Amino acid sequence: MRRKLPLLLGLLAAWAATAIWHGPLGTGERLAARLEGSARAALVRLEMPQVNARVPRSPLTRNMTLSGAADDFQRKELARIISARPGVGSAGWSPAGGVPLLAEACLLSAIAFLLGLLLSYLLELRRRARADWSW
Amino acid sequence: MIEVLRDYWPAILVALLIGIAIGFLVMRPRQRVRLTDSAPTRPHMAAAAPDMQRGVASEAATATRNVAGEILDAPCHDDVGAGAAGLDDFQRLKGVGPKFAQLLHARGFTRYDQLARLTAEEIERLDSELGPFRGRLQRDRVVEQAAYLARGDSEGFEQRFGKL
Repeated sequence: MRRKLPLLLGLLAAWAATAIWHGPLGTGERLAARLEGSARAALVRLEMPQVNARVPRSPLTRNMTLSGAADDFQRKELARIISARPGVGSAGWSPAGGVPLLAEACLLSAIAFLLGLLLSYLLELRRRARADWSW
Repeated sequence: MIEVLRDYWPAILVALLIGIAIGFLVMRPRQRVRLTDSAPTRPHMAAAAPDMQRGVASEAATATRNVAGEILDAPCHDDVGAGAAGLDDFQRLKGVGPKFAQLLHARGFTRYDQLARLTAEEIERLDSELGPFRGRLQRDRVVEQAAYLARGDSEGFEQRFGKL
């Protein structure tokens, strides 16, 4: 427990930092706006300006929902093209759930946290190898 | 995922730094101190050592000696012990602790000059009887140290081996 508690607190602190970066500091909203802007530009280029592309906000995900007038072929192709845009998780004509953006960010933070632990472990191994006494 | 990484890198960097800090905190060296009788007495501990060795029997003996001294009106020195028994204090030698000193006394060595006169063969033979202290005579140059103390050359001793 003596070792687990700092690890748990550290992971929670990393997640808290990520949540602050995502919400109050507006990174999540900025990413959503950029994805929508990119999809909008693609739709205009494809001469389908009547189609709208939005990402759900609660919770915020990278799964894009398309709406507007289009035939079956256009619907299928637009979903394919928009889902291939960088940063877009998936695209469809009906709202789909998907992994919240915050959860994805927290997963990356957890991986970074573990990487940090690994780095410190490697440094510790080196320190132990060079130390005159063992512990 | 790359897009997320690009936007969230500062938070991810913070997580990495937290990981490193926590890793150092959790895995930091913790020195375990184990005191044994065979541990060499350091100079700063030398003054405290006699007190630390006093048990109930020793305290009782001291009290008896003091009372007897008062009744007989005889001056009783505090250091009636090793000195009175004619034993040199081997613990003054660097690297020799109470157990090692006791072992040397048990082998019949009571004075520095006895140790100083040891030949290479005798050292080898004695060393083989020292059990856990095997190799210490050579490692800590005990014979050389004893030669200085046998001559009473404290200054020379301190120059070679450190403060007494």
